[in-house]
Amino acid sequence: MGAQIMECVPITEMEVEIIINQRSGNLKIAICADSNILDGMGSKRYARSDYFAIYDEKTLQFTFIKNEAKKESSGAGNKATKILGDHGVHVLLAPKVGPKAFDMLKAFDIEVYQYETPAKIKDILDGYIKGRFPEITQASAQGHQ
Amino acid sequence: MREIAIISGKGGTGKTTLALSIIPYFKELVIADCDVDAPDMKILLSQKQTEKNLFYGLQIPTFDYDRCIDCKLCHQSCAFNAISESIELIPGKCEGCNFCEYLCPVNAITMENHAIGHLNKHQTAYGPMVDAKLFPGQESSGKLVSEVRDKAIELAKDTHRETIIIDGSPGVACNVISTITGVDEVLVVTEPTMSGIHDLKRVIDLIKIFNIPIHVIVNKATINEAKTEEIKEYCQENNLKVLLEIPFDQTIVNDISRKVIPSLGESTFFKSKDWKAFVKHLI
Amino acid sequence: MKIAILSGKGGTGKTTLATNLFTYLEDYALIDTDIEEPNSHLFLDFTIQDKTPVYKDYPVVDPNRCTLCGKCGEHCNFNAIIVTAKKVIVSEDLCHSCGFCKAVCPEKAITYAKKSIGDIYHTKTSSEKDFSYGLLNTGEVSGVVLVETLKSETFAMPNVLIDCPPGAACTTAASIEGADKAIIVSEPTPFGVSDMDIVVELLNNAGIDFGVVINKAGSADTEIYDYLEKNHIPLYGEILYKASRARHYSKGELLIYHDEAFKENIKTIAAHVLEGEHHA
Repeated sequence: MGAQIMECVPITEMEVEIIINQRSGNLKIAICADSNILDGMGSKRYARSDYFAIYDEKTLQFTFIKNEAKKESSGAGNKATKILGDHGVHVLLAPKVGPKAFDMLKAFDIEVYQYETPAKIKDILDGYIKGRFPEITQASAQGHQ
Repeated sequence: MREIAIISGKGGTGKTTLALSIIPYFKELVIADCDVDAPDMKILLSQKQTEKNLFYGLQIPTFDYDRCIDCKLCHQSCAFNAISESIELIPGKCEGCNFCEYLCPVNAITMENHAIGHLNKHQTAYGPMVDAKLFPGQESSGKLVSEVRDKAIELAKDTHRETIIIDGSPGVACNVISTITGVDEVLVVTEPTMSGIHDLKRVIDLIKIFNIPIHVIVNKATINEAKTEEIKEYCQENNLKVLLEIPFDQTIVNDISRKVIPSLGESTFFKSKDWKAFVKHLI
Repeated sequence: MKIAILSGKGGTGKTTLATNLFTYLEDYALIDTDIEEPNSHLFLDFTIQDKTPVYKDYPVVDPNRCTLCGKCGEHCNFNAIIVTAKKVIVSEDLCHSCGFCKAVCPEKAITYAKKSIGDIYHTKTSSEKDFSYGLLNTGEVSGVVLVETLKSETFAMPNVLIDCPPGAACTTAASIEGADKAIIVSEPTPFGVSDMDIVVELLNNAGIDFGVVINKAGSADTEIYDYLEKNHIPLYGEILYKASRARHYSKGELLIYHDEAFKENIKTIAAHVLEGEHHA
């Protein structure tokens, strides 16, 4: 990414302006979330997670959005991706995505990286920034490991 | 939190019997019966139904006959033949696309939420249980199954329970997919018959792309030893493990009839080394 | 007569009854409408006469006309058509072919193409009888069209046995439509009784007369007999559980050829179901 990665500063939910690190950038990074608090856990699912936590590198802030795709009868993966696309997300951190969801994410030019659960939302972001997560590519989305 | 799903492909292989039998070995349990066509766990487990709620799945049209000009555009355009020539809804055919509402030139159609089944909570001796039942004729979508899963997860969080055991749907459609997404382990229960093997292969093909650990259990293994071998060979060729073979045992059937959980009942199988090793692996 | 064979619970013996009854009755055709997991073909000796794909429509967007206005995606209730900043993507598996997207497109950029959702097999058995079944592609969202196509091609015949999917969902509802009579196959267990309720309701809603066959009978469980009596449901027959029968079934063999007592059961069931009906 070309930017300086500084030390990770511990954060609390009380802070309005949250500084994960001093890295600046232009990316919006979405994390699948079980709840809408930073200390909460990342979700085990993508399309039917309760929320998305979207971290904006420009403003250094987290926004939580309710996942409207969760209650869809079918095509929840498509709707979730559309929601992220409409919010201008560039990177998705997810536990896993199936091949169809992956194709849709690719069509929106969203890169996907894989985290392991259980993990807290803030730790997931930290893990991504430190380059710890593998990128999900076509091959891994199809279950080849 | 750990989620274990039990599925089968073919119905009648003993999925529910196995799910029931492993339950007593877990502390801190929530039970999710995701077989929304035929939720059977409650027959043996439910001490009390604590909640029964209508579940809304799709929207169906209602007609304001005062506004209707009988142009029949809705009847002609409905791809599912769900609106009769006399402009009445034919229940069961509507797939909830909302096209008729858009088409009506006089706004005589309003879409309304339609209940497709019930979502219930039960109290059991082993922990809270969630189940659901679809009304007859409904499209068996993954949505109701997902709802059962979500309610179970919510219950587990609220009551600080560690494990969720999920009794899944038979078949190979989206309700099976909704049963297994995000779980930590899948147990596939099969039987040594031609039909059982045929359906086992189809369900394995469906779920193997999800990269969740899959273990196979052969129930009624003694009715045909050659077919049991065939299943073991198939599993080996596909990097799957047969974790347990359960012999056909009439006492297990009798226990179910007496509404006794088989692993707590009369059958000597549940005192065997094989069963104990299997339980140990699961816990 | 068109006779549907169904069960609330899977694994009670629908296919066992359907295939053996089919073999016994001389002038009946058989269709297997369990398009997710058809099993009848495993028990019968047949030659495929033709294999026909069944198609559904799905939208194709002309990129030269499309302005990415997003209306198609907004109106699709199935999330099958998604508009990105650069193009429109269709998830064909999710499409219900309702026609909404094509109608709302202001640029008339959407046309329909056809996609196979599964296949129908028309066959003749070694005794020259008609047997058809369907197989839905895994991942397809709706099998109802496949069931309806399968029936439309066979229902012209006067006498048909329909081996239905388990349960009472939309594919079963489509399978029983137009049937004259139905047989519910159940078993004498608490699950058998509980799961019968939903198909009883389905049949009552459809106004179809029915009776019950109790398979794997012989346990001490009387709950199911009480249920039948209480609800005035006729018992068409009972088939005892025997290990030898389970073994024949497991090998894909027709019991009617191997078990005289079972053959008598089938005769009794056929007599009850067909009583009062003329058949050639």
